[in-house]
Amino acid sequence: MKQTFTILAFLLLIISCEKDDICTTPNADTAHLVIRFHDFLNQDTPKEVTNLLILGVDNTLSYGIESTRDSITIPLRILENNTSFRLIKDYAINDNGTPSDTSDDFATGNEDVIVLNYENEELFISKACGFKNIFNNVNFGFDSDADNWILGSNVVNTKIENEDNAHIHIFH
Amino acid sequence: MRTYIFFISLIISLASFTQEKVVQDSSKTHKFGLRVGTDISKLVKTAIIDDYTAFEINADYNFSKKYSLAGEVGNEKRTIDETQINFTTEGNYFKIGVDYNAYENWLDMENAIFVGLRYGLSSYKHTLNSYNILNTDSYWEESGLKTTPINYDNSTTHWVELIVGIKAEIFNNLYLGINAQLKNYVGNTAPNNFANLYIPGFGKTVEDSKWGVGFGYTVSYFIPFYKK
Repeated sequence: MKQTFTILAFLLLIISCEKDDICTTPNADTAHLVIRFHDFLNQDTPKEVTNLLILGVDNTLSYGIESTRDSITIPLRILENNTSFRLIKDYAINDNGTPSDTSDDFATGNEDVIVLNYENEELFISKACGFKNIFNNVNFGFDSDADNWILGSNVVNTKIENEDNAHIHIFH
Repeated sequence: MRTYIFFISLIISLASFTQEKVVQDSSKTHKFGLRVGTDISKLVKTAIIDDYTAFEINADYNFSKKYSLAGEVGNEKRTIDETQINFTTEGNYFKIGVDYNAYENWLDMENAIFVGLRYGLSSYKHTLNSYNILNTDSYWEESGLKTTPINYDNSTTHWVELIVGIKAEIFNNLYLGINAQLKNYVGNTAPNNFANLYIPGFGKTVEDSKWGVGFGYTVSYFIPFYKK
């Protein structure tokens, strides 16, 4: 009787406790697009883009501030099948000769617009994490203009589900 | 809520614990028959908790002094609201097995301190009422919340269950019981792009684990067939 009671009390104690449901699954968040910049002439060699500013088309904010780097990690829209970004190389503010007056300042740099088309897929992760978005059949392009700094590209992975490796290489 | 239930169980356990100090008589008759009852915790929860509806009928037949054929049949509907998902699970289950009574009864009593094994089978469906696409980067200011329900039909789980409990006669042939269940599923058909997070008759499931726990508070009536 005593033993049974002990077992019963123990089991009821287990039932009284519940595991905290906190999302700890790795890669549970919707992944960013990872782009690496390589040398156009030597396509296996990474090459930095100087003072690069990233602006989402139809977005009033820039994605971070300008910096020199050989890769970028940018968010894609999950409610649309396409996302475009303005990538401005050598971004700088020209103060128009009047450093104290910012009203006549203007931005300089070489802007190229990249376009991504894809299909969205909702993938179940867990009770605590819910779902994440996966981008399938990713298609990459860039608008040609009079002075493109982007010279070519290669889609390395058409499926974006994590940020472990680059999805796209841009040659310049 | 669970803490209250836990203390109520303790009190009931202790109450039946103190009853056993009566001198036991070894020369005695036994009553054999069918005990039929229901899980009152399910009825109480149905009454007081929104988004929960359940009913269970349980029965055991003591075909020998120590062993009973035992089983439960039930229906459960439960809505679970988590941070990222809100879903409703609904379905039927049955459990069948044998109880071993470790309690030495005196005279015509059929009290039980039992340990039992069950095979359980549950057939159910889920409705995902709303869910969120996890997207912590807010640059595009998009809401990942989706409110179009998705149905996942035809889930099935079968499991093996260890049950321990007490059944004590409180009035003539009327029994009050408590039990705790430890379960481990042996088969589980998970829906495509979702998971069996709740299983009627089995309870909540924990990620990467086949274990489940449950408890029951039963009221049952003993229908005697014959004495020996």
